[in-house]
Amino acid sequence: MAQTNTWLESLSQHSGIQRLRNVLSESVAQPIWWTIPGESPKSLEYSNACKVCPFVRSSTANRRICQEKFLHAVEQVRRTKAAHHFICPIQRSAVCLPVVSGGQTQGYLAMCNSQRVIPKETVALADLAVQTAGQEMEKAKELKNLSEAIQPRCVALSTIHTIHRLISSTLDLTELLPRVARLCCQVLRVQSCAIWLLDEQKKLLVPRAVVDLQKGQGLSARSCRIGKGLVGTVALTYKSFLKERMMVVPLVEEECIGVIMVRRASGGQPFGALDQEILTTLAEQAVVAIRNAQMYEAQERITWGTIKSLSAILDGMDNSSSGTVSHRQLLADVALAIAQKMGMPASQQKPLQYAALLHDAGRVGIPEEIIRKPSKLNRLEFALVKEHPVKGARFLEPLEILEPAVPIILYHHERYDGTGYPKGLKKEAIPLGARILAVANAFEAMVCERPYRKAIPVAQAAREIASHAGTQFDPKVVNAFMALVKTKQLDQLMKGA
Amino acid sequence: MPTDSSLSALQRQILQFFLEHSNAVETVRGMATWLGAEPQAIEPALNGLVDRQWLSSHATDALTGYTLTSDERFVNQIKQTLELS
Repeated sequence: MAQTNTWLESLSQHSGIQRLRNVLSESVAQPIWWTIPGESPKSLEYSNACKVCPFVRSSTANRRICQEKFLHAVEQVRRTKAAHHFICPIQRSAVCLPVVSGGQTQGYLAMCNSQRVIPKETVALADLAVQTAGQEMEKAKELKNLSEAIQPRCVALSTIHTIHRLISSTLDLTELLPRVARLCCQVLRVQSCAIWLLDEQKKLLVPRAVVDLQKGQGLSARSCRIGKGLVGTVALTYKSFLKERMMVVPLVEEECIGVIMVRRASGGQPFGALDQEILTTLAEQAVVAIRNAQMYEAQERITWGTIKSLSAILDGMDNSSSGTVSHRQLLADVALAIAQKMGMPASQQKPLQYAALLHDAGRVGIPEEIIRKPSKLNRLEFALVKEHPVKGARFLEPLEILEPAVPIILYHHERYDGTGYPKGLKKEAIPLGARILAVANAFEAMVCERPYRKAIPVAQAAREIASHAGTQFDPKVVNAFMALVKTKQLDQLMKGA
Repeated sequence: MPTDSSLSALQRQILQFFLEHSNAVETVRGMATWLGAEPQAIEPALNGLVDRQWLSSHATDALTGYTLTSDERFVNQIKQTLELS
């Protein structure tokens, strides 16, 4: 028999059918089981199991007679679609059962060589078992097909979700845009991706990220005007561009904020509608993250400007001449450089800079003669000076944006050995930002000239700071500071100031 | 490159998944769901494949996404390895 029917084979292995065979086998001494594929079989395949039948075994002519009888029974079953009991040429009992799936007869299961008549009830039960197993298998097949159809969509959905999480985890455009470009390359299997963002003041589309996996053989991205060239046209019309090896999609959120372009190397599959759909989905995800990052950047600029204005206003109110705005900027830059050297998380660096600009806010109100007093302060005067970190923290506390900067301001006069003020905190009990600010503050005070005191050189200031490591200052902060001195980074910062 | 025999059964499953879904970006948790494996077993398996440059990782502070490498030479290596096994 040339026909194969894996479905029918699987059915014959089904646990329900196996049980049926076991039950029937108990009442029949040497049953011969048949799996006959096809709706209208023309012949039977005689297996080794058939050798137990003396009739079939004895001659080819007998086998032909047997086959004729069997196929006649099969034909009857095909017509009625119901189990059929029949007697074989040597008067033994046989039963043939139809296997129907999806309304189509897939084949037949049969048993013969029973020396007793198989009861009608048993035949009916066998028929039911075969049909139930068939339905079960049909359902399993449907489920498998459904699962195979759904899985790629689930993976795609999961991918979109993962990309959303990956790109919305940063508000830093310099980090976000290359990440988006790289993800586009990976997801679309392309060699290069470039992202242009609109510079609204200059009315220019400026390339902000280029990822070229073929190193120089892909995109060369230049600034362009809206409406000019391919990129400018996509930005003007909001319409995607699709070619065999290139796709350009606008980044639109009410208005076009930029453009994303991908290129595939020759030899790869040409882009199709599905690729365009994927890139459009990625662009939609990216545009939300880009807008959030742009808004955050704008907010940061506003905050930074506000802090600087506040610092300048405090300067005007401060009689102490403790330093100009540019001195405070130097102090903020030095504190930031130390923090970065020490690997301080980026989220803690901004509050440190804010604290550096506003650390002496509490000195407003301290008489100038006390601040400028060349001789030792008396107890009352020193008590007044010692109040300024607490006063400063209290002034700035109501500003929510400064919340993380307040502890740095409050504790920047603490000493590492616990002899500082206002609380006499020791070692790591002092916030790291405050320990850094203490070193940066001392450095700035020594290297910047005051009306009442000359500046000293960087090297001398550095020696002075190093000599107080472990007492006034945290040795780890001093180490980071000295590393900056060695690499002349502090000299560069001073030139900038 | 380490010998192919050093690939675990789980790593073969992961590679098979990424060959079938070459556009996918998946996390440890996602892979654990698709393959019905423990996340603790998935993570080192994924990182081992990243070390071989057969997968790429996209890491943020809170999350790492994994993709099939975009280098076709490595993709061919993966196909050959899976065919041989």
